[in-house]
Amino acid sequence: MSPKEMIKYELQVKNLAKSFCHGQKQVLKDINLEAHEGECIGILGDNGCGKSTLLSVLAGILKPDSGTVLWNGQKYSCKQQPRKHADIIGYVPQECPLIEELTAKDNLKLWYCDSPLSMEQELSEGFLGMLGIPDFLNVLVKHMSGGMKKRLSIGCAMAYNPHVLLLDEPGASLDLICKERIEVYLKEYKRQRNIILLATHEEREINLCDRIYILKNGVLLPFAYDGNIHTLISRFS
Amino acid sequence: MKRFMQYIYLEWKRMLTSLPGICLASLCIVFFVAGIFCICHLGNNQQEQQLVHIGVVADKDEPFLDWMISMLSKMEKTKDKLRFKKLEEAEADKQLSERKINVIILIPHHYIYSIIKGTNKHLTIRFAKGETSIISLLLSQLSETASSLILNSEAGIYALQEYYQKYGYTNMKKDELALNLLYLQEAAKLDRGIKIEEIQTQASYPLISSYVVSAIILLLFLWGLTYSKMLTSQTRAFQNQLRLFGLGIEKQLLARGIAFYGINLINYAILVCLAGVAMIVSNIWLPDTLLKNPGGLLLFAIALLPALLLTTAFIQFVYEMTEDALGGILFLFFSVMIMGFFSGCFYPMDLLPKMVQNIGKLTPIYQLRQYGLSLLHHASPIKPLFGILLYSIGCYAFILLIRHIRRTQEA
Repeated sequence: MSPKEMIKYELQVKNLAKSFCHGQKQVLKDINLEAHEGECIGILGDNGCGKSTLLSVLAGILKPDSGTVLWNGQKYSCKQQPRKHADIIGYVPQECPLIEELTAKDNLKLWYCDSPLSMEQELSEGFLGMLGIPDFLNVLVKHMSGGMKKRLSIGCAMAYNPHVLLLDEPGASLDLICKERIEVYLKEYKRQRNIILLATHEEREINLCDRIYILKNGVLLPFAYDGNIHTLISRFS
Repeated sequence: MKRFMQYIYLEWKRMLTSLPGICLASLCIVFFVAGIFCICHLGNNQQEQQLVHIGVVADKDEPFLDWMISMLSKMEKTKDKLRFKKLEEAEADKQLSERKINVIILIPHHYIYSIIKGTNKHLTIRFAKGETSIISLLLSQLSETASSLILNSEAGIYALQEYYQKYGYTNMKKDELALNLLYLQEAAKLDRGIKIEEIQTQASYPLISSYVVSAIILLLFLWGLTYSKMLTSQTRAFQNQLRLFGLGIEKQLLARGIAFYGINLINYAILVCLAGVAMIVSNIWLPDTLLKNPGGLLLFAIALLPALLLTTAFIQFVYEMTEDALGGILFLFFSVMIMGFFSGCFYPMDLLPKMVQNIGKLTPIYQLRQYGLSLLHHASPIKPLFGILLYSIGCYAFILLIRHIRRTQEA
């Protein structure tokens, strides 16, 4: 085993809190979470409960009011160490983070220009190929379907081959083939000892998760999911 | 750095896809601006031709002064066009510099007697500097009036007869002939009989230069109407993603600004080429300015590049602020038109109320006009250039502030 393979990767979230409107709207309260390598964690909750906020804080886009996010016991910041941050976290937001007037290839170039990975190689035999991006490489983003955009967004977020992938409702309003492609890719990504944090409402994606958390009234609670969706629904109501 | 350069390139490439449409729309704006200036210029010409205010400076007891004024006022060619006002020299100069009057005629002591005696003291006409249209108008009017006066009117002779009788001179018949000849002789060389002077005024550039520069400046601003699609903000998700990869807001804005300036340069180069061809074909140049030949046009175009920096920054600021294509278009159009009006693009600033003039001087368009005019007339452009740089930095600072406030609100 190489030294890199011996390291046990771990993401820790300790006492995280986030509020809006000068503290009037408390969205996240004392969030504690641990994610280990090779794990896929699902975060479920009603619309507007704060799932996207949690992922944004973990990604480094939003600053928490209190609490810490640690990677292998150390803090990380996209502002101070963008390169290191990109090595750790890949974030795929709900909205499309692409330049609409350019092709998929141009968009990929922006994120891969400084990457240790070769874009061409990844397209031919790597995860970009697995996501089916070569099929629409020269298509303008504005002419793409929702599924194509989502796959391309994942491809862009993976430019530095990060250890943690934060996905905000990746399968929302996608067709079955797209969902299947993304699922296959996520399974492979997990198999490579990486961590996935998934905010979702989709049953297929929930089945992909090793652990489930429910975010309700700003509090993150673990939920023992036994594969029965009705139990889960009853928990929400 | 690599990603920064790549982002500039991709922004530029993205904007380039809109360039054909922009060039086409820019041409429409050229015609629009030209149309506005034709209307304003024609309006101004009509106004000028309707009424010219003339200050007359002469001794209080100058003989025949009222007779001369009433004579000129009643002439068919000048009737309803000239207004005479008797003034002290200092007051006349003040009013001329403030453009309350268009010209001063300084009548020397005993002017008519000097003509009669043949010593012929010079009449002085004093104009505000750069009043080219008034100069040509007045000289033609006065020449015609003087000719009419000398050739068609016998009133002068009657007045002379009266003068001879009053002082009891005897050789009236002989002198009458000689004086008539003298009159005709002086009329024939009228251009040498009138001395022309210019005094410094508040806006000392010719109106035609002012209109040319104003049109160019307005065009550079109104181009922004065609950039709406390419300058509306990128999605928040994209901005955030760039931040995660080390491109902060400042770098994002800088990259976008550089890319936009590059696109603007291409558009500008096309316009300069078109203007050059049009001027060469029509052979219309502005003598005594930098735009006197094709080489001058090229120099002027290069020297005007800092102006492009400010217009680029301002346009970017507008679209960043409104975050919406239609809102940006409306805001840009009305703000430019209002600033243009306040800073004297459509009418000479001196004609506007003092308060409006003071506001106008604070606008970026005023700085750009002053910069363009000083370049055109070989004056020092340092002061307006400083203003341009200051405004450009201000625009980018505002964009940063807007993004910062939005981000803070979101967070």
